[in-house]
Amino acid sequence: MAKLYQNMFEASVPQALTLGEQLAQKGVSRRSILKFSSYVAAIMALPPSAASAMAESLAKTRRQSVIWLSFQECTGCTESITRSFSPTLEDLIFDFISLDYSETLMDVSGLAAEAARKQAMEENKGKYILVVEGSIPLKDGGVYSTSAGETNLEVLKDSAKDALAIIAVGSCATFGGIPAALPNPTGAVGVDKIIKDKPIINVSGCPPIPEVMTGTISYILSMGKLPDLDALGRPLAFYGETIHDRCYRRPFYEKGLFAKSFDDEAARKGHCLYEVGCKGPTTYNACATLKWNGGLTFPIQSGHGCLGCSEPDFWDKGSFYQPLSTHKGDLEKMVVGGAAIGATAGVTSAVVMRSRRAKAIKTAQKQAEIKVQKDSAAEDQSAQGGQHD
Amino acid sequence: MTRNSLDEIDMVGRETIAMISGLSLALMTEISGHLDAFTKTGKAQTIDLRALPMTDDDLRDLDMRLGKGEVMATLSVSGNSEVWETAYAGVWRVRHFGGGEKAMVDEIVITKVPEILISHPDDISVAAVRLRTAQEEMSDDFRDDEVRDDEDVN
Repeated sequence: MAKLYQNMFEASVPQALTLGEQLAQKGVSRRSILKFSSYVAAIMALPPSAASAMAESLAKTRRQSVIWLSFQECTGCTESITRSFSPTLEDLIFDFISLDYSETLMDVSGLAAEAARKQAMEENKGKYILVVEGSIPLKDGGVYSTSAGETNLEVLKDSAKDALAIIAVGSCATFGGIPAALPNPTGAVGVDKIIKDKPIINVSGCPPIPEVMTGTISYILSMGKLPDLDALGRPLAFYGETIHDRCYRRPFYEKGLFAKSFDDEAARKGHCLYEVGCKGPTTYNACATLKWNGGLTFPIQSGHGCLGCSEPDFWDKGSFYQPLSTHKGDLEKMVVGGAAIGATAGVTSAVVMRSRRAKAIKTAQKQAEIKVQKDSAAEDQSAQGGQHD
Repeated sequence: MTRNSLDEIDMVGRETIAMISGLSLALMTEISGHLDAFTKTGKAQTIDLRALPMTDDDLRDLDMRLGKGEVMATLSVSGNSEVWETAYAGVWRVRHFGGGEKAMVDEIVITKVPEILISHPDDISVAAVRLRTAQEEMSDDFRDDEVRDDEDVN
């Protein structure tokens, strides 16, 4: 964290020294960059050869300007990301970026803070990455969340216009999240419902996994392009498979072995938590592989089912403790099949799994369309602030 | 996966239950195939163990099957790292630890020597300059000492 603060207001103008040279001046060897790249390549499921190529490329780049906006949110995403960084391997990302504006973390406030944002935007025009945390309220002209006399909508539009790309962090910035939960009193929406002319990477989750942020920024820096995204705009490397696909309890699901209640003997033996409400089969995220708190554990390993927090409208999808098969709508058809498969030991085939995955993607897309319609309705209600770029 | 396994944090006297899914056996087959291929093509391979749905017991089982060979190295590079050759030459284990000594990278690498152990040419160039500077400073100090000694004698 100390390094984070230290780096925050260092000049972000293009510097003569490359990252490799800057690190060498600090006595940091190229092994550190290789180690970091191995870490990023592993979490992004890149081919093994990518790590050394990535390290070479990173060493030749310069620090990336990042402007971090906080809107309608609980700051849990910032908590997640900053608390995860200890002064070791993960800390290196702060040598690679220049965090030029962050209301939560910066020392200055008021006009000086806004001046810092404007300055960073001017000096890095067309080159900075805009990170957005929190949803944007559109109802009643966006009056429900303002900062420095401007609505979130105004700040977002102003900051986005010269950004290289936007990373929407957390389920609020991506899909509206909890602020958009029914009846969505503020008309909250995610970034991609407002900004249409910039590349947007959705890093969903409540909060998202810190490594997804690290990996995404490092990928852009070293590869010079955006990572491949899924239908919901999320990096495929992290959201390409369900929690269930990579869960260590999955082999027990295949054998039809399920926990019947929390902390029963079956749960302790590692049996699948499907019947106690786990949403792993329909949730696309990397918790089962990257885990949390620096790879220590994740909810299912701690004995609790997945809540599905990285999927749109997770808050409005019924009880967290009812099996997926009891849910209404399209999900029901999808997961009843899954449960039957799990109950029959060893009969799950790759074909069935691919089919389920395709259905899940279709369901997610359908939900996204419904959400767009819902958001459009909310925008129509907006008196002034609902005009899109 | 981490140094804090489920067994280790089970401190309330419950019966420890091993959770072995059998993946380690499947991995042995994959490693064997990669090693065969490496002997023929020289193509290195990496298996990311963190990406597999393995329990801590699965990992322990795998390491037990692979054993330890002649080379073991610890690195202090942005945190700690452990690299060791298994009992099968050319099959390496590479583990990078982050904050709290948690494994951030946990791999099996099939190669001659893992790249992390090899000095980078840029680091060697910097080291050459540093060594030359240090050597010149030492020579200067030595000369200054000699001059002082001569003055003292006179």
